[in-house]
Amino acid sequence: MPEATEMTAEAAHMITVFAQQSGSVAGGWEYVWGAYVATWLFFGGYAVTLWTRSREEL
Amino acid sequence: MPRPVRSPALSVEFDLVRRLQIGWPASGVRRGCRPCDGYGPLGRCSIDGSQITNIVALLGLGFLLASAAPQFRRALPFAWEHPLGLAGLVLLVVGNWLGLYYAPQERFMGDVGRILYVHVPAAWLTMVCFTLAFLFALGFMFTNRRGLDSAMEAASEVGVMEGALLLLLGAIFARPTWGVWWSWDPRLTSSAVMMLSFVGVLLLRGVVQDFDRRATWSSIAAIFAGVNVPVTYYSVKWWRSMHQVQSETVAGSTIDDGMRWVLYFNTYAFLFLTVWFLARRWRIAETRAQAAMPEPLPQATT
Amino acid sequence: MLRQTLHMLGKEMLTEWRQRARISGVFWFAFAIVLMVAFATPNSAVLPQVAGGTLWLGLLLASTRSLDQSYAVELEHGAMEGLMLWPVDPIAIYYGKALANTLVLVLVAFALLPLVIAIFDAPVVGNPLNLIVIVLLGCMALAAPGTLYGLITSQARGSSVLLPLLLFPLVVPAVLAAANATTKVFEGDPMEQVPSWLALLTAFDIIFWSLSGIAYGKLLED
Repeated sequence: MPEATEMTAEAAHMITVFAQQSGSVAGGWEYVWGAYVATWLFFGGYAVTLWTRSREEL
Repeated sequence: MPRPVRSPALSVEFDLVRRLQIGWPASGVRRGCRPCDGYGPLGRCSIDGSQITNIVALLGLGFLLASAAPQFRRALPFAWEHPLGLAGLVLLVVGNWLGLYYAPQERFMGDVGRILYVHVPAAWLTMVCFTLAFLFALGFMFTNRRGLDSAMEAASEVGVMEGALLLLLGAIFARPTWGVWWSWDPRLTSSAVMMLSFVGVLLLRGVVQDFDRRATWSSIAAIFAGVNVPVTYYSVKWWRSMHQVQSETVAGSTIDDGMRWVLYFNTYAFLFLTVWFLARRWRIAETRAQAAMPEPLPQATT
Repeated sequence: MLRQTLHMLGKEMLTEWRQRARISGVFWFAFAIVLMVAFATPNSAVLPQVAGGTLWLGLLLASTRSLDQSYAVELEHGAMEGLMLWPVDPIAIYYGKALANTLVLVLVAFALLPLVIAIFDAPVVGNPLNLIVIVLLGCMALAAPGTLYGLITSQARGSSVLLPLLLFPLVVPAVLAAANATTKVFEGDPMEQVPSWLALLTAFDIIFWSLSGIAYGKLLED
């Protein structure tokens, strides 16, 4: 049956992939940079809004 | 000083957001019988860094509460928050460097674990801000002090900002580690609900013009939002534990000393910056309230 | 104070009766939502599983209409000031209104329940009496904070957006519990979870019915 061979091939592929995983996340630096940049953007942006609003009050 | 190498040694469970909710000290492997684990940024057998954070947070809270009192305001006309904010900025720069380069790779998460050095402090500070908002709202209901209303507005807004950052950082962290941007586990769901509650408080404040009404209504809304947070957390946790559909995935696994003090460092940075944000925002709120309701003050304040 | 509450309740029910169309409007709104969920679900095999949740979603959204309208009546004719001038304990006003809102929601829920069971093909495996209790407790949970926030938002601009935004995060635990309990009654409850959900609903009701009563007095002073 064609479905059976397809499923077996997929299963074999998955087993190969899992066997190669080391159990830890490799790389991911773009996420790290994204997180740190987001932090600075949030804080910097909020500080700017604070400054603008305090200027308005004066 | 040599870079700390990746250590497979015993360490405390790195579930710091849960720690916040169950109180210090966190559960986990202990070295010896000392309740504070015996390790902190100041070295062995010293006061736990967590206690220092608590003390500093309480001091900040005390400061804010005190500055809401008119007598104190006149006594402290200078902008006391600026040195604190500057210190926070410097600490954040150094802390980021520490997090990005100095700290070792996490055992399971690799370099992605560095996100936790900003994510966990954001979580703590969001909770602190919302707790402060709740306390200020309660204080206003009992004392009717305008300063407390302004403080509540400041705490709500800063809390919403930090909460948005928290959710974003959580999603950025979740993607490479859990494989999804979002999941409906108790912590995430209750954080989202908490955020929404306080967004509602802010929107309510934006819509109502009359000062007294706005203060009363938003205080009540903030009190209800604050009460709802633990209720939501426990109900969603209950839901998850009853369903057992998805076991609660703990963010991260273990952490050793080399990482923990970097985390505390970043936490202090966030704390000082948050206090600066709160103070600045409070001043803006106070100025607006004063402009709306001029009082005969003997001297100009702030 | 009980007598005052009952008087207040009677007044609310009389208002309702004179405007029967209002309750039917709330019902049709809830029903429309339920239908839309059914239409928007391409895979009809999952419909029985979402029946409980959809019932409560419809009730939740419809409750905002009902709560809005319960204050609109008073605002329209300037009766709000009259209400505050009554020599009535504000807490009695609150409980009377909240009970009236609960009754409206309960009526809508009972009207909606057979329709949901039919449209979503939900098998009622569990004890139907449980459904009655869940509906009662859940509607109480929706009505209590809603009556309080309704007072606030009816007098503020943009109330149609504000009431859902304020109310929904607050009632998340209650909707969670009610939807889960209803689904368990529909699909069967092998692990006896319904009593726990009912306990959560009861706790929620107790907390918010008392808290809102206390806060209402403060609000009416404005």
